Amino acid sequence: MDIKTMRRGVMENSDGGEDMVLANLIANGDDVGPLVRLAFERGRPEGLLHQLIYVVKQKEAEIEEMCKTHYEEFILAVDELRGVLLDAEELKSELQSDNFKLQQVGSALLAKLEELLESYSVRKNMTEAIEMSKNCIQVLELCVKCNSHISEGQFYSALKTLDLVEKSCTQNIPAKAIKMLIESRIPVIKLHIEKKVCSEVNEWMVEIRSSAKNIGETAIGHAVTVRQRDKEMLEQQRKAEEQSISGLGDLAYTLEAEELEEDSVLQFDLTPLYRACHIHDCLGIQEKFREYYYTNRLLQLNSDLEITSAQPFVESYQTFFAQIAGFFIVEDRVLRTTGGLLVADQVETMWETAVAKMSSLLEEQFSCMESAPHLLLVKDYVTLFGSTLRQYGHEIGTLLDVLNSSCDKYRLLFLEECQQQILDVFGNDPYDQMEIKKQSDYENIVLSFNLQTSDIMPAFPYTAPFSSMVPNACRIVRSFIKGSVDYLSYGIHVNFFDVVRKYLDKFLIDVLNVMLLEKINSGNVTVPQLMQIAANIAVLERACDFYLRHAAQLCGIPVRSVGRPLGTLTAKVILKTSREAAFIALQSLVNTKIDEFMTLTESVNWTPEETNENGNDYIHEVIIYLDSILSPAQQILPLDAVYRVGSGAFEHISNSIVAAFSSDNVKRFNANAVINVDYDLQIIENFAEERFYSAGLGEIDDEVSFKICLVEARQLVNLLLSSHPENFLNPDIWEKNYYTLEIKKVAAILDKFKDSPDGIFGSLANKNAKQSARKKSMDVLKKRLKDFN
Amino acid sequence: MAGYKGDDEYDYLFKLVLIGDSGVGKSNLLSRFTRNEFNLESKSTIGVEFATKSLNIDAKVIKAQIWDTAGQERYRAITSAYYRGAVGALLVYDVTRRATFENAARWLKELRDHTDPNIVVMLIGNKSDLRHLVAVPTEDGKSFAEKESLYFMETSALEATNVENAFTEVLSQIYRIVSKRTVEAGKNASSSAVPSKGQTINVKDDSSVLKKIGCCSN
Repeated sequence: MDIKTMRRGVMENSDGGEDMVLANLIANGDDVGPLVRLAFERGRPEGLLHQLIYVVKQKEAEIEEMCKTHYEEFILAVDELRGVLLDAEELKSELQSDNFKLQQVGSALLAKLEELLESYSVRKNMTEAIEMSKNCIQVLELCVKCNSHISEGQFYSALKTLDLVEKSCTQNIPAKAIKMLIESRIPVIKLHIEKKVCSEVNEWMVEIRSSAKNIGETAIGHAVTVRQRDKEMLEQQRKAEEQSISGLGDLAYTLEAEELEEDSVLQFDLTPLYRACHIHDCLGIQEKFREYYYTNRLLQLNSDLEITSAQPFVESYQTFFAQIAGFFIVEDRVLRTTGGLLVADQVETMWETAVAKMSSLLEEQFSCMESAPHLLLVKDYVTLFGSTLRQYGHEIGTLLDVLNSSCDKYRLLFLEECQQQILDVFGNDPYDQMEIKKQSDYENIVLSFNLQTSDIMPAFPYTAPFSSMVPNACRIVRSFIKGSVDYLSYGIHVNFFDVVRKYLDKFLIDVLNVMLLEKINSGNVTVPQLMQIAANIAVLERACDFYLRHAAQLCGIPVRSVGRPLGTLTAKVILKTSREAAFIALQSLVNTKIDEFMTLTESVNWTPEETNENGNDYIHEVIIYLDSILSPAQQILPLDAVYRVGSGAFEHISNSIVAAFSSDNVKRFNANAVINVDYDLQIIENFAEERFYSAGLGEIDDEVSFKICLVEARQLVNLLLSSHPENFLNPDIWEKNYYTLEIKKVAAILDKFKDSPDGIFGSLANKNAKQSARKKSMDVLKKRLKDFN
Repeated sequence: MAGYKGDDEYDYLFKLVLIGDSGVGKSNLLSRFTRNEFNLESKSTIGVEFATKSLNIDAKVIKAQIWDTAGQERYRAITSAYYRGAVGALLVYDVTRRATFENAARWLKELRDHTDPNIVVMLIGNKSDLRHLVAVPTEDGKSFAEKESLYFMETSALEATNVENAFTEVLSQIYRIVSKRTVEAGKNASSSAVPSKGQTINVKDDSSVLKKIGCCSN
C-alpha cells in the first residue's frame, strides 16, 4: 500500500501533495483536529473538504477490492453460521430442560439457604445485642455497687463508682432509655450523698459540741498542772538563790522538761469531718462545704457564748469557759489537719467574736459580784483559760485587760471582807495576854508570823506579850497578801510585787490602823485594855517585816537579794504613830483617873492646927490606883513603856499638887498644911522608888527614876519649908534646887502663905527665934518677888 | 378528709392561737400543718393571719381555725382581739435560741391573762432538726412544761417532725374536754340541746374539767 501511495503521489500535482499529508495523518492515527480548526479559522474549508472526499473514495475502492477477493469465504462462513444456529437452538432447548429440573431439585435447598442466611442475620443481631447488654450489665453492676456503697455509707467509693458509671454511660451505652435514666439519676444520687454527708457532719457537730466541755476541761487541767509545776520550780529557785547569797547550800537546778503530748491526751475524732471534706472535694463543691462548715460552727460558737440566767454565773462559769476552750481546741485541730477547710483568718474572726462576748460577759458579771473569793475564782479560771488558748496561738490581751480592770473591784471587796474580819477580831478580843501551852501552838501563833522576841524556845506554858487579836490579825493580813497575789498573778503585771506592797500598805493603814485608832479613841476601853492595845501594836509593827517578806516570797522575789532591798512598809511608821496615840490615850485616861482622887482643893484642910504624919486620904487612894495600873503594866508592856506610863502618872501627880497650891479655890494655907503635903509627898516618893526598882527599871538607866517625876512638887514644898527661902533668888541655888519652879507661880503661891504667929506665943524662946528668922526671910523673898514682877 | 360531708360542714370549730417570740417558726408550723408547705425565706408576720384545716376525731369533723400572730413587739396592741374565743394555744420557742425559751413564761402569763383558765396549752420547741445548734435541752422544755401543767413536744416545721402530732394532740384534748362537758350536760334533765353545727364552743364556767397534769413528750 505504501508503494501505491508513492506512485500516485508522484503522478499528482501540488494539490495531490496536500492530500497525501492528510491521508498519512489519518493512517497514523494522528489527531486531525488542529488541522481542521486551522482550516476553518482561515476561512477556507473547501480545500479540506475536497481532500476528505478523496480519502473517502480511496477507502471505498479498498473495501470493494477486498470484497471481490474474499466473496467465496463469505459464502462458506454464512453456511457455517446457519449450522451453528441450529446447534444453538438445540442446546437452548436442552438447557431449559436441565434448568427446570435443577430448579425443581434446588428449591428445597434454596429454602434452606434462605433460612441459613436469616440465621446469620439473627446471629449478628444477637451478638450486637449481647455486646450491648454486656455493657449495660457492666454499667448496671456499677450502679448496684454504687447503691451498695451508699447503703453502707461508703460515699467516697460510691462517688468513684458513680464516676465510672458516668463515663460508661457516655461511651458505651447505646440504649437511650437506660442512658437517659442513669443520666437523670446521677445528680439525684450526688445530691443524696451530699445531704447524707451533711447530715453526718451535723451529727458530728452535735457530738463534738457535747465533747467540747470535756476537751476544754482536760486542756485547762493541763494548764493547772503546768502552773503548779512552775510554781514549785520558782519556789525552789528562790530558796536556792537565798541560800546562795547567804553562802549556804548549793544551787540545785534541774533541766528536766516534761513534754505533755497534746494529741495523745486530747482525744477527739475528726474522721467524719475528713470524710466530708473528701466527699465534697470529689463532688466538686468544696467551697460550698467550707462555707457550710464555717457558718454552722460560728452559729454553734454564738450559741455556746450565750449564758443561761437559770444558773448563777459562779456555778456555771467553769462549764462556760471549758466549752469555749474546747471549741477552739477543736478548731485548731481542724485548721491544721483538714487542708483548707478552715483558714486562719476565719478562726481569728471566731476568736475575736468569742473574746468580745467573753469580755462583755465578764465585765457584766464582775460588776454584779459582791464577793471577793468569787472574783478570785473566776479570775483564776479565766487566766488558766487564757494560758490554755495562748498555746493555740490566740491573743488573750483583751481578757487580761478585763481582769486587770476588775482588780480594783476585787481589792475593794477583799478589803471589805478583811475589814469585817478585823472588826470581828477586835470585837472578840478579850485583851488578855495569850497563854500558849505547847510548842506547836507557839510555832503556829508566834514563829509563823515572826512575833518572837528571842530565838530561844521558851518554857511552857508561855504567856505571850500580845492578846489573841494579834495572831488573828496577822492571819487576816497574810490572807490579804495571798489574795492580792493570787489575783495579780498570771495577769498583765509580770512583776507585781510593788502593787502588792502598795495594797498591803493601804490595807494596814486604812483598815487595821484606822480600826486600832477607833478602838483607842472610842472612850469605852479601860487602862489595862489600852495597855494591851499598845503592846499589841508594838508586836504588829514587828510583824510588818514578816508581811513584806511573805509578800516578796509569794511574788517570787528572793528575800536576801542584795540588788533589790525590800525596804520597809509605810504602815510600820504609821503603826508606830498609833502606838504613840495609844500611849497618849492611856496617859490621858490615867491622868483623868488620878484627877478623880487628887481633889486637893476640896478634900484637904489648908489651914490645919496640927500636922498629920499619916498623910491625907487622897494620897493613899492614888497609891492604890497606881499600884493597880503599874502591876498590869509590868505584865503587859515592855520596860520602856512601863517607865513611860509610870513617869507620866507621877508627873501628873506632881503637877496636881503644884496646881492645888495655885488654885483659886485655895485662898490661903499655913505651914501645917505645907508640912502635911510634905508628908504626902514623902509617901508617894517612897512608893515611886520602891515601884521603880521592883519593876526592874533600875537595870535600864541609872540616870532616871520615878522619883524624879515628882521634882516640881518636891522643890515647891522644899521652898515653902526652907529656913532660908530668900535663897530662891540666888541663881546658883535656884539652878541647883528650884529650877522647875516658875517665878510668877511662886510669887502667887507665896501670897497665900500665911503663917499665924499667935499660936506659938507660949513656945520656947529658941523656937520663937527660929521661926521669926524664917518669917523674916520669907518676907524678904515676898517683897523681892513683888518688886521683881 | 371530710368523709361523708362537704368541706364546709363540721361538727366543731375550735380556735387555736400560735404565740411566741419573733422568728421561732410559728408561721411555718401553721403552713406545714394546713398546707404542708415550708418557706425557707421566712418574713415576719404582719399583724395576724389565720388558716383552717378540718380533721376527723372520733368520727367527728373538727375544724381548726388557727391564728398566727406576730411575735414582734409593735403588733402587740391587738392581743385582746387575738385571744378572744381561743380554746387552745401553741406556745412556741426556738430550741436554738435560749432567749425565746426564757420568754415563754411571759407569753404564758399574757395568754392566761386573756383566755379561759381551761384553755389547752402545748409548749412547742421548734427547729429540732438543728440538733448541732441546740441551746435549750429537751429536759429544760419538759421541766418547764411539767411545772406549768402544759403539754410538750419538740417539732421541726422544716422536716415536718411532730407538727401534725402537735396540732392533733391539742385538738383531741380540746375535743375531749368539750365532749365530756356535753355528756355531763346531757345528764342534766334541764339542760339545753347539744350545741348545733358550726357553733363555737364556749369553754367558760365549767369547773368540773379535769386539771391537765403532766406532759406529753415526743
